[in-house]
Amino acid sequence: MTHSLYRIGDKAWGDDWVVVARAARGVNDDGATARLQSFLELARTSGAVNWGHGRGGGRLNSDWTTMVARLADTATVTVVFDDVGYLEGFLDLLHAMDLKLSITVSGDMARIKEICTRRGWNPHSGRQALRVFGGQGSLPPYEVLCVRAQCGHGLIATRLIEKMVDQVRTGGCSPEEAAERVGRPCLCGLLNSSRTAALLRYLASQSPYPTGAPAS
Amino acid sequence: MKLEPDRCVRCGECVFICPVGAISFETGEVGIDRDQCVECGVCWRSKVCVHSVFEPEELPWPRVLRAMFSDPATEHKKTKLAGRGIEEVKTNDVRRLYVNDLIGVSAEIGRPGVGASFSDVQCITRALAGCGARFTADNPLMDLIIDPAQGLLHSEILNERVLSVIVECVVLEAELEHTLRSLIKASSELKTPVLLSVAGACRADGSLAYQPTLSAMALECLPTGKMNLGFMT
Repeated sequence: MTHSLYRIGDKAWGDDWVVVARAARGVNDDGATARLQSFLELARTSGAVNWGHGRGGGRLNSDWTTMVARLADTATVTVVFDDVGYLEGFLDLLHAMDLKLSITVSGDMARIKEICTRRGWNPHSGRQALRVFGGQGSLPPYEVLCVRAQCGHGLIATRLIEKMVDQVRTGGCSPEEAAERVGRPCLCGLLNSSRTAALLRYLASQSPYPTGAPAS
Repeated sequence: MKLEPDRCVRCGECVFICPVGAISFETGEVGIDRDQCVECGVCWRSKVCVHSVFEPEELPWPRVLRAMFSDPATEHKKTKLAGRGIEEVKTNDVRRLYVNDLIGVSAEIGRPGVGASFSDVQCITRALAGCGARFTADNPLMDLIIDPAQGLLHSEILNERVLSVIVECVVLEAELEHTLRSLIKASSELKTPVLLSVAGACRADGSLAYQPTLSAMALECLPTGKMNLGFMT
């Protein structure tokens, strides 16, 4: 449910939009693979920063042939944008194509409503997170959490983020290269690589993080 | 995850990849803390070790639950689907789970990035059962609840750890406040984080069905969320 729900971080790190397509299992998923492939093809030519699905991987850890080969009628296919203009262009094309898929957009709810209102679309339903409850003593620093929260399955390690921050700080790689490394464990292709690069650049400018090197 | 320590060249790269910090070199040799490991498969799948120190293994019951709930590439045995939750809002314009005064309530336990035991999960399922919430049928957790009326899970799984579990239910709008208060109270007793969320239909004026209750409770949502655009209506 919360695959793309809990993506925290303000506009200082750039825009962040996720579009999800899927068919309802047992209702309208018969033959959905071809429709999902059309969605994926549109995604990769629409200015997106990442795209993919859980079985086939994403832009940072898979290839196009694998992504297409592993599509299934029940797949949840995602595409990530860092620019609202690209998002709107993508949604317009998607609406015109009428792929007979359910489409969900994650991002700033007020802006999503605006986008729909301007086009005369009536959104069907929504989901929002409240703040985090329960014990929070084990959570990493906020900016690290902003990166970790981009993988809905929680597969990006805090220590990997810290290591790549250290590499950016020492000139071992650029923030963009570091973001691509950080995003590889995110199986579904949901990580926003440009937002992650901005966060890593910021973190590298702050006080040092431990590298977590193993004992010799 | 099975370990082949004889192949290890002690480069230490694997330490950084584990989401729960279960890999270490505390004894000078690569080791996995089996209690902490949630079988997410990242160490193996990432190919961080070019010497193949990490090898997937056949997991016995109930340890296999760790992979089912933590590794997005592992399917649940009964549903043959991977993942922790249901289609929820993503296909709500077709399934119509949350319409009129039906509100979806969910609690994700262990996220972000801390992990949870099924004992933690049971605290939440008991709280929801106690206020009469109806658990969502397709959620993979349903197979593990032996007493829905009391929200009890199989006792043999309670010590198993996973990256996170999503408990989902549907309540009437009139029941939402009581349900959320129960969830907040139960969450406060846990050491792991709990992310609560609500889902509902868009009303004619553009508002969402859960908003009046949240306003009355002075509970704020994050400004971000997900919206089903209604392309299938």
